[in-house]
Amino acid sequence: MTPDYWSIFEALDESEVDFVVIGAVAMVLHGSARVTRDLDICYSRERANLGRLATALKPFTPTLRGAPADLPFTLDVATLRAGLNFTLRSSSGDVDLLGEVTGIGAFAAVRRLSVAMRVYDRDVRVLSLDGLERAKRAAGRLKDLADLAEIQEIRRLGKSER
Amino acid sequence: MRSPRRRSESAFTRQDAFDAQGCGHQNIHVYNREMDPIHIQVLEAACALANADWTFRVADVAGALPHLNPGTVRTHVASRCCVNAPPHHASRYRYFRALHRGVYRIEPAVRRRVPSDRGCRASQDVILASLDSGVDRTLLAESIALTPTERIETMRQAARSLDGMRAR
Repeated sequence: MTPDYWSIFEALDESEVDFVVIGAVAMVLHGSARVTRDLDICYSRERANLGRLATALKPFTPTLRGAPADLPFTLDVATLRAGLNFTLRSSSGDVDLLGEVTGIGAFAAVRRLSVAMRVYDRDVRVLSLDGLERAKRAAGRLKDLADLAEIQEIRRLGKSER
Repeated sequence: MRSPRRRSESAFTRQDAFDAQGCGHQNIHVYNREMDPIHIQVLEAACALANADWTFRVADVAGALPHLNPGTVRTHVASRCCVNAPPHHASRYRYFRALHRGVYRIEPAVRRRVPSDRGCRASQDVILASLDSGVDRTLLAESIALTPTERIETMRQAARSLDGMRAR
């Protein structure tokens, strides 16, 4: 299922969640022609933001993706504080919440490497091409090298950042 | 002095126990570095932020650990983990030495640099240069001409088409 990005961005924005779009969706927002079926976001671990994030995602009834169906799960501040990265299935598609990004660090560093983009009439922070390159290099998998080639090509073809 | 490693390993042990119960899964990431003792988190942040001469500012460490109370971080740097803290302070971990107001140096015994990615970067560039990336420049150019919203909607349509083809 392809996520309903509009609904998720709207919920996060309405709840004033501090987050940065990372991963494949960030690549697409910069111009990549790839297809992805989940949304990766890096979120601030400040307590107030954890509450806003839990509130924003609650209507989407998130559950742990790949976990046994009977494993109890409630996305709330306590859960978010006890974990760091969560791979979730929700009524609006798969959403991955990351507390930090390999190669960059925690939210503050990720935010410093982000740019503002207008998406669905909302200002959304998106990891910059420099940030994506750093994360891809740190991950170092074969598919990340393919992404690096695409990032270089996007840079050549024109700046999508503003 | 207590070993900084021991408590971290106990956190991993908790994760192992969780996996052993059959609840662990590659998509569930339960281990959280924020569960490490505060002195370990402070030391790791200081190592990551330290200058070439291993000095750092306590304000930077407090800023790098937003989930902790800044006062607690300062107390750890200036008192609990400071070898030359005033005698009436309860100094337990020999991590830092106070140099000036707000500036500390990491003690040689606990210095640990985050590995440099320079060598790795060079080898990645060699691989990139030698591979046919398969990047479709026409498709990329068309995508870049769109707005971010149009890009994401185009991607959703493509995903739906692929799902439809698979269903058939």
